Amino acid sequence: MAKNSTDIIEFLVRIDRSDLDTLAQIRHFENLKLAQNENDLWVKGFSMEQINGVAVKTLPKKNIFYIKDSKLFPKESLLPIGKLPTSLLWTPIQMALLLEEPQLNHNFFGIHEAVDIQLAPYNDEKQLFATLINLDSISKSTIECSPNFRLEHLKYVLINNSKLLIIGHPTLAIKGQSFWLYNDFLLPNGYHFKFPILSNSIKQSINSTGVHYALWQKNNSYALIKKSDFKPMSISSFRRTLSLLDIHA
Amino acid sequence: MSKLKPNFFLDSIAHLRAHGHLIISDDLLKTTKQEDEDIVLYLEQDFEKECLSFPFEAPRFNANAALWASKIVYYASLLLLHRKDTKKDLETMFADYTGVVDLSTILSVDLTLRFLPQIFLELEAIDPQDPLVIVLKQILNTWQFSAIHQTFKAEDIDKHIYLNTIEIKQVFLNRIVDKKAINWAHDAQINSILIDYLGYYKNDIWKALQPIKTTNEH
Repeated sequence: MAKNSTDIIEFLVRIDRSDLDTLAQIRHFENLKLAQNENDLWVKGFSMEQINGVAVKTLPKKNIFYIKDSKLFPKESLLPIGKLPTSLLWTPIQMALLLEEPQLNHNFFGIHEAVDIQLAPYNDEKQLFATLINLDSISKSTIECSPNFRLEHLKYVLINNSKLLIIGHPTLAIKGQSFWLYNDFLLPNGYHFKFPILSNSIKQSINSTGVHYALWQKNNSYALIKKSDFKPMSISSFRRTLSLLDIHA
Repeated sequence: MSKLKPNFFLDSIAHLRAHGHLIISDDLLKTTKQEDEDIVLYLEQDFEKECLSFPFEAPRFNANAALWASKIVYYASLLLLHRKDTKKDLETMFADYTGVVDLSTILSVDLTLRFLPQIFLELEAIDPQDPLVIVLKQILNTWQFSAIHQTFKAEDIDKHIYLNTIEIKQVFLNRIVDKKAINWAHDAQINSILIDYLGYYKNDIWKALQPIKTTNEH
């Protein structure tokens, strides 16, 4: 009784030796085995699915066969054309086709390319850590009229004699720019580095010891502020700072 | 001989303000004019330092009030441990302050009078029958800003003086918060004002402070 053609599970493909490289596209079929003789490359072990797949169909100059009763039949033919050469040595395809890593390209001049460090809008809500406010008459009178308990958990530093950077939460009820803390960076709330994965490298290069806070602005500039420069906020400390620097807001 | 005369009055008050300890000298229930001038200079200096932390614009120093209060505290501390037949002098030693009571006076007096509640409580613990107890109690009931203390409470808080102007109100409430004077905070009117005042910060600053339920009196 003739076997149904669907019982045939093994196909072979023959291509020219010179087309070895084209086998790269079927190398990922782990079940395949490869052998070669003088002129030809033989690949066996294809399933019906694989032989009808795109990867095999796009192989150039190929002959597809199947084996039945140890005779070699071209695909979709009932007449055998002969037998498989007997002297073939079969190796798994992944062993036969080794991966090569590209060699170092000495002519590659792209190493000077750099990535711009930028901030990008960021949707996660972050706890406010610091506030940057202008030192004007409103902020001055707000601070000087605040009860102790609104100030004593805050620390502040004066920047350029014109701005106050206040850390602590809850902060004062003064309009200003808010920042959140990330790896000693003070980033504007609602923003994060475009490539957060770089943050450690950035910290290494500008603030490796961690004695500073790096205050980032939305225009991608930054300022280093020593952590030890922050002083506890109180009315008297604030007044003394202003009178010491002779600032009249 | 050194020109600098010993000034026990100044020593005692300065040490009290700096360290919170009392130095009690012997048998000196009078102060000289020179001593008075010295202590006013000293207190004025300290007043200016304290004014740095005063919210709003600081008031002027009231020398008379400051001197009067420092004498009260000095005499009270002397009489706490050292006493001869002084009962007849109590009236003159603890005469009332005559003058306007405003923010300037309240703060000037407070430089030294803030130590009076402790002295009073000591005295009361030693002998509740002491005539001085009544005198001091009356002073504390008048100068309520300085009288704020965890244990001591004025009989009737003078809301007219302490809650009407924003400056006095703020220092008054601040003092209650700083001292955690729960007795004072449980006064019905103070309680609601204080809770509004602390607002968002209440639970961080003073967790024990709870709104008291006002019952309708029939």
